[in-house]
Formats: sequence, structure tokens, C-alpha cells
Amino acid sequence: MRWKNILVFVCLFFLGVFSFYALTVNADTMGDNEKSITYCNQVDNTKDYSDYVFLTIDYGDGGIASIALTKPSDCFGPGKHEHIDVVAIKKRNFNSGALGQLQNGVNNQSAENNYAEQETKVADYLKRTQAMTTRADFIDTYQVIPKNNTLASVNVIWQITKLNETNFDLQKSKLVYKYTNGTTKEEIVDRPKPGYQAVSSVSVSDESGWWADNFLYVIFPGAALLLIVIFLLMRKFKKG
Amino acid sequence: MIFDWLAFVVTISGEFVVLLLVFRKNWPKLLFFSIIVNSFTWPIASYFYYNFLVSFVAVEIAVVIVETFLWSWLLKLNYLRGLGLSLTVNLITALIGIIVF
Repeated sequence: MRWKNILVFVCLFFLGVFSFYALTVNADTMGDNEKSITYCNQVDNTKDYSDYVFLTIDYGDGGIASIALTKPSDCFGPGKHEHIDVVAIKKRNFNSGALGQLQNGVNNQSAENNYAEQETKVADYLKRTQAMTTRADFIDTYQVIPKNNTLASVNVIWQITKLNETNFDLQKSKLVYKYTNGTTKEEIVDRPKPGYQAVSSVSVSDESGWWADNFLYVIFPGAALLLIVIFLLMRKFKKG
Repeated sequence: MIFDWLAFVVTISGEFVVLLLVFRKNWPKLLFFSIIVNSFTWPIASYFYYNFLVSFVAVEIAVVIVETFLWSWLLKLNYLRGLGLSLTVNLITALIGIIVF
């Protein structure tokens, strides 16, 4: 009977830990005392590169969630997706018909195999158009905040710092916080230190991400394997 | 994430019910085994499935092989019976997964 109680406790503990993780990490639900705010990413100097068109490719959980032509005023990436690629294509190589076909394919995809097929088509399109791609990862820190917080929205301003036929680099330049009373606050994002190589990609470090990423795929199965080994060893020693 | 959690619970429940139907005794132990075995295989299988675009069948085959050993050791079965059990529980949970999700 004692063993049964221990086993039931371990089962409940495991389910409890997983439930807690499921409900707290990446939680989409909002409590009564919370509100969601908009999170708008914009590239503000695309007009300096008038011989290019810019696309954003939004990668969701299973594959490409959307692919869209981006104007300077457009917001992209509400922050819930895995990452976004910003793509620059020379106007002479750009074909809006081919993009339309890709968009139709992405909008009508349903099965997992279809996601892979669409990714291949998009990759082919980017290769054909000699597109330059840079990746932007987003933090969704400001999506859900306490209701009494006066913050209304956050604009994340990105700047193209390098764009030519071999390099494309985007950097976050400014955060603009807008409050419900109409005031705004700007925060200039520090430039990377000298010697830092951006290598045509942008990433925003998220310290809480390590725990979130590794809990499910490393710590959880690791703990389970440990329990299996402990159980087998205990049984062996008990027998011996 | 809630979707993942549901899929995980459905997998554990499905395997637990099959184990219960096969062995018909000591349910807390069977539930415990079902949770620890799936807590080990399910996250790793999901990781490979989503991140490396490995096909569903390939992931299921890998899971069946790993679970063959785990079920054989935990339930003191010979490997052939372990394989049979692993195949049965995974076939049923895969079918549930395809129908439900």
C-alpha cells in the first residue's frame, strides 16, 4: 500500500509539473487583472534602399505561417511566432505573380508534409530571386501585462545597417513605448560592441528562453529517464 | 502549448488504458510506468518531429524501438513481448492522435 501511495504521488507530481509548465510558459490566456498590448516591429529606413522590395516570412510552430510584402509603415511580427525572416529582393528580380502563388500555397497549407513542401517552394523562390535574408527573433515580454500598467503599445524600430549583394544586416535601433495617457518614451538600443560580428542575422537574447526551451526537451525527459533508472536499480537491489 | 499538453495527456491516457486492458492489475504501477515512459519518449519524439521535419512514421518507429526496451525492463517481459506491447500501445495512441488532432 505504501508503494502504491508513492507511485501515485510521483504520477501526480509529474503531471502537476507538466501542467504548471504548460500553463505558465508561453501562456496565451489572460487573467482578470491583465491586459494585452500591441507589439509592432517596423523597419524605418527601407526608403534608403529604393531598388529593393522587402518581404517578411513568418515561421510558426509547424512551418511558414505567412509571407508578405512589407512597407515601412507595416507592423510585422506580433511576437508570438518562432521567428521572422526579413527578406530583401532586388526590384529587377522581383516577380509579384510568383509571390502571389507562394502566398496562396502558404494560406492553403494544412498537413505537415505540406508545410515542408511550402518551405521548399519558398526557399527555391528566394534562391531564384537572389534574395538576401536576415533573421529576427522576437521577445514577447510585453504581450500580457498587469491591467493597471499604463503602457499601451511598444514599437520596435529596426534599421538596415548593411544591404548589398552579399550582406544584409538588420539591427534593433529604438523602442518606443506609448502610454494610455498619450505620452511616449523612447529607448535607444545600444549598438553591438566593436568586434561583434552580426553575420547578417539579428537575434535578441532571451534569458528565460533557455529554461523554457530546455525544460520540455531536456530536463523533463532527463528526469523521466532518471526515474526509470532509479526504479530498475531499486528493484535489482531489492531482489539481490 | 496547451495543444502539446493535451497531446501528451492523450498519449499517456491511451497507453495506460491499453496497459490496463492487457495486464488488468496494479493500476498505480501501470500509470506510473505510462507517465515515466512517455515523459521520456514523447518530448524527444516531438522535438525531432517538429524541428527536423522527420516523418511521423519514422518518429513512431523510433519510439516503438525505444519503448520496446523500456516496457521489457519495467514490466519484466521478454523482448518479443515487449515489442508486441510497444507496437500495440503506440499503434493505438498514434491512431487516437491522428483522429483527435
